Amino acid sequence: MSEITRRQALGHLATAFAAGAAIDHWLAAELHAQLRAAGTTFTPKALSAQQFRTLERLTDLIVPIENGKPGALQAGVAGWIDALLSVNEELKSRYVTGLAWLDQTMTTEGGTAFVSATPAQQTALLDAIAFKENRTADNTPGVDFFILARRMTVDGFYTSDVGIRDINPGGRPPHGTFVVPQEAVDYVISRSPFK
Amino acid sequence: MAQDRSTVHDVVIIGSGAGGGTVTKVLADLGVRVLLMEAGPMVTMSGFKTLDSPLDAWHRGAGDAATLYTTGQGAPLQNTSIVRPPNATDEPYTVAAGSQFRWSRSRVIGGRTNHYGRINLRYSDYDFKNKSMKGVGFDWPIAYEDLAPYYDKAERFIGVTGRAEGLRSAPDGIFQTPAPWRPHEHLIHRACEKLGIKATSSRQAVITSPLNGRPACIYCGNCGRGCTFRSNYASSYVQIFPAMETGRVTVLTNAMARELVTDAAGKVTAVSYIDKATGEERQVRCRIVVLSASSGESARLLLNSKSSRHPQGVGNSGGLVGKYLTDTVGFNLSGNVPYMRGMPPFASAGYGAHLYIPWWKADRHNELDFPLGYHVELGGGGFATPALGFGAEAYEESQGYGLPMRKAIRDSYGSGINITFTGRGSMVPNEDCYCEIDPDGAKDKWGIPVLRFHWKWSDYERNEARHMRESFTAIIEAMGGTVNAGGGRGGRGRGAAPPDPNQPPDGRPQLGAGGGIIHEVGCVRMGTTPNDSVVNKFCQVHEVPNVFSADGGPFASHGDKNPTHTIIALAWRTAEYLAEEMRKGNV
Repeated sequence: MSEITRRQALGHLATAFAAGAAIDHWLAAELHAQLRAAGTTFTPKALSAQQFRTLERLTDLIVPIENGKPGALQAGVAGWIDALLSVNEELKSRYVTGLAWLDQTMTTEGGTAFVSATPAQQTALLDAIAFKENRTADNTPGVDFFILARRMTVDGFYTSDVGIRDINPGGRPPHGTFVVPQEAVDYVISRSPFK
Repeated sequence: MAQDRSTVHDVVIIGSGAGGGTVTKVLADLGVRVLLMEAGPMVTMSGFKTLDSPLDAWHRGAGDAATLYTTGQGAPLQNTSIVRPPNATDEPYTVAAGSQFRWSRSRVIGGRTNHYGRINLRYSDYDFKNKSMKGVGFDWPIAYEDLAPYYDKAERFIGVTGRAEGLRSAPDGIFQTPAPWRPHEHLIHRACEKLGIKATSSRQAVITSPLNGRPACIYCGNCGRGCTFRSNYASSYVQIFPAMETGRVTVLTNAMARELVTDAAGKVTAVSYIDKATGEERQVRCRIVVLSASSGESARLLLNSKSSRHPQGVGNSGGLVGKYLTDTVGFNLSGNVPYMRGMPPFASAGYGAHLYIPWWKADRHNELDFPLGYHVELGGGGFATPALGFGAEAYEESQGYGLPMRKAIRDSYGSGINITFTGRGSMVPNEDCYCEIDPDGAKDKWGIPVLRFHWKWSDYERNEARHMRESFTAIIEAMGGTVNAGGGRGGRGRGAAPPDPNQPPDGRPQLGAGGGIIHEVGCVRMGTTPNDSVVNKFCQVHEVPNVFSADGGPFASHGDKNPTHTIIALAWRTAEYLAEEMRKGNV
C-alpha cells in the first residue's frame, strides 16, 4: 500500500467516524471495502502527490460528509477527476493552474499551502471564489477554477455508488412492480390547491 | 451487375422499422417466405444497454478523452449501437432555400423503433376523415372501422398500456394494466379535472404482464435505449427476431436500395441495391416488393425508379410521390411547482410518463381558430438516476459549496422543477411541404440521387401552438405552479430542432423545423385513383400492383397521434391482404 493510499483510506475512516455516531451500516461497509481496495490500487496518474492531496481536500469541502453520510472524498471523486485529467492535457492544465492558484493565494493570505491550512482558512478562501457575485479582477482565475471543480466534483459524487444511494436509496431498478408510496402522494396533495 | 439468378424471392421488404417489421412477422406467420432488406447492420440484444449506468464506463459519460469538460462533447453511454444515423457526408439530403427541414434516420435492424418513445395511440375516426369532418386536408379511403381490427391484433401481440375512457379523441384498445400515477401526475390529473379536461393513463407499447414469451416491465425508465428484456415494442426484438425463427425470413443487412427494376410490362422484377460493405451494386429478384423504408426513403426509391414505362418514376404518373409530407406540431412549456419540494424520493423511473392528456375539444372546433387537435405528453416530476450534470440547476442557482449546496441539490431532486408539457398536434397537409429528387443533381456516396425537402407551416399550426401555450399555462396555474421563464418553445424536447425562422414574430410560438418531431408521414399517399393518390386502400401502388407501401408513406392526413401504432396496424392489414392476393394468384 502506498503512503498516499494508506493515509487516504485511514483518513476517510477516521473522518467519517469522527463525524458522528449515526453512521449508516452501508457507509461502514463502503469504507472497509475502500480500505481493502486501497492496498492494490490508487496512485494519481495525472497529478503530483501534493496536487492530489489538495484536490482531495477541495472535493471534501465541496461535497462534505453530511450527518454521517459520506461525501466526495469517501466516494473517491478525486481519483475519478485525476483519471480524466490523465487523458486531457487541457483539462489537466486547468487543474494544475487552479490548484497552484489555491496554494499561492493561501500562502499569501495565510502563510501556508492550501491543504495544510486550517478548515477556517480554507472555507474563507472558498467563500471568496464560490459565489459569482464575489468575482473580482484578482480572484477571477480562482472563481473560474472553482466553477469547473464544483461541477466535476458534483458529477463525480452523484454518479458514484455512494452518491446514487445518497440521493435516492430506493431509486435503483429493477422492480417487479411499480409502487408510488402513498406518503409521496399525500405530501404533494396536502400542499396543493386540491387538498 | 451482380445478380442472384438462382432465386426469385416471393416478397422483398425494404426497411425494417415498424412497417417492415410488422409485414415480416405477419407474412412469415402466414407461411410466406420473405427477404428483409435493411440499409444498416444487424442489432443484437446485447447492443441494448438498458440498465447501464454512468458507472459502467470509467469516464461515466465524459468521454474517453474527457472532452465533456473542455469542448462540451461527452460520450453517449447507452445507445450508440441502436441509434445509427447515416454519415451525413455519405448520405446527404438537401433542403430548399427558404425551408427548414430535419430528417432523422436510423440505419439498423429495427430502425427508429429501437429507440422511439413507445407512445402507441390509435387514430380517431376524424383523423381518417379530415376533409369531410373538419373541412381541411384529405380523407383516407378507409375509415377507423377498417383499421380497428388491426389495432386490436397489434395490441394483443405487442402489448400497449392504457385505461378505457370512451373518448372520441382516444379510441380505447386492448390494454395492458397501466402503472400507477406519480405524485405530479396526480396533480396534473386533478388540475385538468378542474379545467374540464380528461387526463388518462398513457398508452405505451410496454407490457406490465408477460406476453408472448416476453417478461413484464421492470420499470427502469430507460425505454429509449431499447429493452434488453423485450418488455417494450421494437420491431427488431418483438417481430423480426421471432420471425427469423420460422426459417422463412432471410435478412440482408447493409443493403442500400437504389431503384426498383421493372420489366417491359412495367411490373417490378428486382430491387437494385448497393452492398455497403463492398460498394458493389447488386440485384435481388422478386415477385412482390414492399416499401418500408420510411415515407421519405420510400418516395425517393419510387422517384429514382425511372424507365420508359415509368418516366416519372414508379407510381408517379399523377406526380404525387413525395407530396403532402406532414410532421407533428410540437410545442413545449415547463412549470415549477414549488410545494413539491422535499417530497420523499422513491423509485419513480417507470416507463416514461404514466399519464397523458388526449385532445379535449374534438367536438368543439367551432370555438377555435385551428381545425385539428393535439394531445399532451408529460415529463419531469420524478427522481431520475443521476448522470453527469446532475444537480447543476440547483448549484448554479444557489452557488456556494458544502452542506448548503448538498441540501439545495437534494431539495431540487424530483421536487417538481420542470414539469414539462409537450404538445403534439395535428398538421394540415399543404402544397408547400414535399420532397423531390434534388434538381441540382446532388447524389449520395453511391451515386444515388438524394431528396430535397420543402417546408412551410401554415397559420393552422401556429394557431394550434398558441392554444397549446394557453392551455399548458392554465394547467400549470391550476396546479399552483408557475410557468418557467422562456415561455416555451416549439419543437423542443424529443426531436428538438431549431426554430424555423420564416415565421413572423407575431406573438404566436415559433415552430421548429419540419421533421423535427420525427413523425414525418405522407409522400406515398393513399386514395382511390392514380390522379389523387399513389396507392390504393390496401397500400398497393395503383399502376404497379406488385408494389406495396408499409410505412408512414400512405398516410393521407396526419392525426395528432404519434404515427407508430397506425403504421403497425396499417402494415398488418396490408400484409394480410398481400398474402391473400398471393394465395389467389392475383399478384
